[in-house]
Amino acid sequence: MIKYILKRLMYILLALFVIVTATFFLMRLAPGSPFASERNFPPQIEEKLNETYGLNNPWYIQYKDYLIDTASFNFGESMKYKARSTNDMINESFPVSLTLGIEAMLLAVGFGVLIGVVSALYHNKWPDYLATSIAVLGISVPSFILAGLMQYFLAYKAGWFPVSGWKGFGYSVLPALAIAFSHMGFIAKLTRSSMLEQNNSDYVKMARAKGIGKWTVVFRHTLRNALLPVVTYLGPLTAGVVTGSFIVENIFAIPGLGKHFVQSITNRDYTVIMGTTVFYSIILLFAVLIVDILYSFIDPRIKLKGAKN
Amino acid sequence: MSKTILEVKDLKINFKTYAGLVHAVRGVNFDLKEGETLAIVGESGSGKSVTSNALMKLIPQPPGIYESGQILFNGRDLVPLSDKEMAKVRGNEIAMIFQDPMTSLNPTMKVGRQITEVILQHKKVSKAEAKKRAIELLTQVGIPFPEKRYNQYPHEFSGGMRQRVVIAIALAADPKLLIADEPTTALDVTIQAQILELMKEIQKSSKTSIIFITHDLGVVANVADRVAVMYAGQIVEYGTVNDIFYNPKHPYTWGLLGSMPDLDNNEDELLRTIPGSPPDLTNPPKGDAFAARNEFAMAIDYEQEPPMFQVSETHFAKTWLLHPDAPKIPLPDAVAKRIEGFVAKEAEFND
Amino acid sequence: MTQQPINKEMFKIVGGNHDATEKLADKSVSFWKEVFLRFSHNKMAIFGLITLIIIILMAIFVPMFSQYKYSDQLGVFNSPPSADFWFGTDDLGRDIFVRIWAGARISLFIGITAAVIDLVIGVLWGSISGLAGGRVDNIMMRIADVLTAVPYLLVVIVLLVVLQPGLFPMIIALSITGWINMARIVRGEVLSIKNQEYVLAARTLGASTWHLILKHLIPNALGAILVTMTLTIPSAIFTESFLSYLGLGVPAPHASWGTMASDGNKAIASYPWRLIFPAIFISLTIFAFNAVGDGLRDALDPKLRK
Repeated sequence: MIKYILKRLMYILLALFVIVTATFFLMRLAPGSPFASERNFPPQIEEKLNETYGLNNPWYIQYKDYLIDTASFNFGESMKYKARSTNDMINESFPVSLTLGIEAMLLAVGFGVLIGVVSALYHNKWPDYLATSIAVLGISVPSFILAGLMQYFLAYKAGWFPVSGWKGFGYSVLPALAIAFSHMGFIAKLTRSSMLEQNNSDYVKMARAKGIGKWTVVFRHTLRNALLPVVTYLGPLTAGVVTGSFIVENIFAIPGLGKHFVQSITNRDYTVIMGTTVFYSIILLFAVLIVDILYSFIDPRIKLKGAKN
Repeated sequence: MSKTILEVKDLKINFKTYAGLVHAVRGVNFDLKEGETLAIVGESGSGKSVTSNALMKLIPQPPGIYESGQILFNGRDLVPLSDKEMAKVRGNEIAMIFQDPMTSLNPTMKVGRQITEVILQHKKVSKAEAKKRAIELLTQVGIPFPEKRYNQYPHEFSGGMRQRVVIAIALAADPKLLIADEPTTALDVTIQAQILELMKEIQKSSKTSIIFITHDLGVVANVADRVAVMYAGQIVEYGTVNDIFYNPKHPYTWGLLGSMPDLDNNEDELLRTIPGSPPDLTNPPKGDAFAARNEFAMAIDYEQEPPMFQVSETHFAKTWLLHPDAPKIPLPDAVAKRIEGFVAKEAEFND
Repeated sequence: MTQQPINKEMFKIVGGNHDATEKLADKSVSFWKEVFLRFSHNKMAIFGLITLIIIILMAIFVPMFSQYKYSDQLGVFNSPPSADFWFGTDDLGRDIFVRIWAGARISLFIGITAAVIDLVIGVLWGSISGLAGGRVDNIMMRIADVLTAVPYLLVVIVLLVVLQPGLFPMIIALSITGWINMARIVRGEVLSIKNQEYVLAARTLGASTWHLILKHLIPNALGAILVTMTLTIPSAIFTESFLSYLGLGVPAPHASWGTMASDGNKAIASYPWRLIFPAIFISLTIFAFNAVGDGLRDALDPKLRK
């Protein structure tokens, strides 16, 4: 196991290195300096700013500095909002996004599995058709579009939910739902086909041949095996929830990291963009690693590559 | 005279498919006594698997339909029973051994639990007692280090070992009838022999009746007391092992015997095969279903289905060749040779 | 069963008729025909296909023949759907109906082009990797592994920030990681075919590698390739809309469905139809491509072949 984790950590570092380097060089290619779009600075001040941000140094020195900074988790200062360090922004807003993200994931997995199981057990009857329609809807409508529509119909028009802001649990319902819905649909579809497949397998037939009741077979045998693919999906789910948060947080005016990220893009605030990108990458890469390890505990057949048994 | 525990009367089973109504089992009759082994032989599509699954009402309905007939187990007809009532019978009085040990065990559940599951379902015992019994069973089926194996997962067992586990599961609740659906087909020949030995031992010690489904006549000779030969959803010949091997009467049985590979074959003797393919059961042929592949078919075979003719007290065959007006066909050479071989081996064995 | 009277005549030996049985059993249909038959039984897939055909046709013809052009500013601002303007107008007085179909051209063009680029790169990478085998294969796949680990949306965003939003930067950004999946699938097909006995047989008969690729590899891999491509397009449409919401979409006066939705979202409280219509078409198109892709996948699935 240790060997496996070490191997994966190496891959993660490699991937991070690629991301950091790519981000750095891409930023350098970006036309103009981040200060150019704003008011015209007198040349001396611009000179001073350039120096402060080390923009006058040759590229390799900037790169070295950047690598060192990143490795020590120093994501620099926002270029737009002076005296605001990227680290502070992250510290402030990430917990909000984390809460929203976890809510969304619970919704997606909880309802997704429920719908999928119901669908499979009432195969080709009306619950199946209803559930499949909901799933298809989820998969087809992008989360950010759904967010806008939900905000309009359920909050603005119907008044059932607050339109925007983050002042309590009720404020998180619509955004979490918007983010979760498409993943819920995918998980439902996945669970359904997995359940159907397992239902037709020999060991389920054998379980019935043992005289075990229909529902007991489902919960004791079929479900456990059918959920394995869902566990595999948790990695992409995390990524999806992260990216889903960007626009949804914006639409619902939620003070999360996603909102800051989107703003930094609009502002071309390079340090924040780079810092947030690296931060997100770390989270996603570790999420995938954790899911893989989790999966190896759940499926006794899996021996992780590079692990000694 | 030992008790008859199973009587199947005129069982007919259909399947609704997109292609039409498939008549998979078309009027099957047989019985089984306590402690005996009945082998049901036939090729793919003969209806043997459907019959065996039907005995435990494991055919999914839809698309399966129990058209007519009775399955009398200890005098009680199983056909009208509900699923809930059947669940009390399955695993408990009738148990099944499936064909492919690689897929018939739950990959994420420990082997021990898969055995105790059966015990706890049908017997009022404590978990500890069930575990004890499970370990006994593992020993009985020949698995070494049973306490250790109890906590292992199926993928940690080889194919032959897995099949032994499957047998242990089948025996767990002391069933009166064991249905073995091609239990050795997926295994290597050497393992096959071991599993067959195991089953014979079990039968000797616990007097379980066994229905053994197979397409391999060699296996039949090894384990069976009586044999039913199935073709196109019907039993075409029925009798003791001796009846079938020394005095076969149906041309299909001749074909089966003639096509058995034999180590004593002459190198230049061609292996006889039965030409053609089984009929499409959405439209069962008029008359004798085997007619098209039967070199000895007569005009009447294409017109009317033959009844079961009685050859002896124990031996029956469903062919017009046994009608008094039919020509007397001598046994084909290949079959006669085969029988000579059997007789010789038997004599050797007895010396 | 009607019992005819039995007479001795009927007991003359006439023999078997087994050739007839063989003929009946061998009613084999050609592979693609069977695929087509199974596909056409899938109601959702057919519905998706018809939807796509309608959308594509409308995208081609509506902007050509509409009385309004997509960039015409007609002086009627933000009006709801009416007899004159079936989908209403936007804040510059442009007819949303014709803009939807002009936007369709752009969104579909982006999606399909990105998928094609993924196809080309993926097929090349996958077949070279699979055919070469050994170290080359190893290295190529390791690279792909590392690239997969990189959260691509983040890189895409950064890329677009740098390249300045536009039609072709958008297409490039979308194709950047999609090829990896295609490469993996193609490589899988190559590996499974490479070791098949008929390939070995063809080789011993002197067939060249090129011949093998054309005659064997591509037809067999075609199914999987087609499915992957069909399923890449809705993903591209989704991402394009996503990027538009971030302000990185194609610039005015061109409009993709993504940019229209993004604009519409800003004004949703007052003029909801500006979001609703692009939203409907984005969702419908994503659904249709997914339905067709799934239908193809099910139709090609060898496990289901009888």
